[in-house]
Amino acid sequence: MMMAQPLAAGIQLLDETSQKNIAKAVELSVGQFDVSNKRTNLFKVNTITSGLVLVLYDGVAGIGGVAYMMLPDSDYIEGEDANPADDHGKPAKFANKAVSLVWEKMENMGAKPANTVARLIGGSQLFTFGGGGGNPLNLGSRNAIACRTLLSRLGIIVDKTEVGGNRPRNIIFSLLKGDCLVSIRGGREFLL
Amino acid sequence: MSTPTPTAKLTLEQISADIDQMPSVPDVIMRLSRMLEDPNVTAEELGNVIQLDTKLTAQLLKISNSAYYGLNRKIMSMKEAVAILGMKALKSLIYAILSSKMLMADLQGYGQLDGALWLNALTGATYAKHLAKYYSYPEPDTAFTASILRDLGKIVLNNHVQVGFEAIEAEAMEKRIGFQQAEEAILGFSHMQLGEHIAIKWKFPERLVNTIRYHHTPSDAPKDMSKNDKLLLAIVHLSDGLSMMMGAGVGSDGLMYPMDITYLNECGIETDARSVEALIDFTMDLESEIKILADSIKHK
Ligand SMILES: [Fe+2]
Repeated sequence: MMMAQPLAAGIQLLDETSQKNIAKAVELSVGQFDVSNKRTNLFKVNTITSGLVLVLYDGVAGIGGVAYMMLPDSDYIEGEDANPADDHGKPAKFANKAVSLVWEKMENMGAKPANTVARLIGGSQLFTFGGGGGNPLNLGSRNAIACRTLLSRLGIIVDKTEVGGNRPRNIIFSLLKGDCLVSIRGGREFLL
Repeated sequence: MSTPTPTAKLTLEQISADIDQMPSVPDVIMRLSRMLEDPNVTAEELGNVIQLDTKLTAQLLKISNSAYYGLNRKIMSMKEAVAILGMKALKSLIYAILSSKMLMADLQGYGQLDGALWLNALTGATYAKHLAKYYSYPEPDTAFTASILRDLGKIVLNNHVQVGFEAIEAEAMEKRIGFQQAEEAILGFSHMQLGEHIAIKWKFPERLVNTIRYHHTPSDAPKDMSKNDKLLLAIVHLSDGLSMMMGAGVGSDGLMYPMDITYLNECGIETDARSVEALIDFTMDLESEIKILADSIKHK
């Protein structure tokens, strides 16, 4: 018989149903997004560093969405003549695309902006020597600003953020109650 | 192995003695790395030495025939492999295999399990190879090699750091200093110093000793390095930073390292916000190449 996988201590913070379903959690990698309207579903993202994860949850309808982005804006990176259909399998790579992609799908399922809360997780960064003012590596805060702006246009409030620092984070997002378990690598675990 | 208390300082000499006990002191690889630096070495001579190590031969043939190189014909002998892949590609492959052997070990001390450090090494190496082309460094394969070897010191440190890791981390967090300063405070030396020690012991070429020693602190490197060697170090430093930013196999030492903007700029590498974002975009597109390479080198 197979031994059950030992669970990280932080998982106890989730409700029992979510704990039971944890093995079925859908894992997202950078540039991906996904939505669900099944309350028994969970999403997870591992080793979030400079990237930023947006977690959206409409608690009334029980609809959740996750997008894992890396860069704030596609426009000046891809250039005007870039082919928008060619996203290298990473449709949510850019914040300006990720937010509308994930929200569109949630909206189609019946999510309402007024019932939806947004959380932002990630954006850990290296510190820098020299180079004058500011840290050009603070992608996290640039991504977070891009997300906030886009979300506010949709009428969605960013409820909580866990952005910055210099350690990787893992998250598990359960649709049952909308809990989002954050585990800081080598650090504490908590519900955001 | 000795099991120090968290606060006990180890010495480089103590650890150095342990290196000799490491299971895979790669004698053939040491001979090869010296041969590969010699411009007069022939493919046949190389093939003859590689053949002395059956496992290495098997692995090189397997990789030569893998999707990574996408050759139409099947390579049957080491001599053929050398002739078709070329000396430089072969050199970076040999170093890749060497580091995989060591880095696949369980690196509990750095919170990196299941070959995560290996993935980090390979990711940085692939970035370095492409960065070399981008910044016109003439030897992309050397950049690959230098980057894959940059964390050589961590493997050996691991045998000791299991006990001291939490103390290192606490020191880094509490005093808000970089991880290497914390290593120095707790252990008395850093993984770069140890890596340098091993690299010298294994008679690696000097520019590789330098990239290992200064991959986190390039401004401390000898000032009399050639322009190309300086650029090589900048590329290794940047490849290391980018792979941490991308989260490729990072441990719980996380991103507690500095990026030396001044040094990068001195070497002609721009680091304004848009340039950094373009670099991140560029590295994201290398994911599939890294995966194919990782699959082709995997043991088992
Ligand atoms: Fe390092």
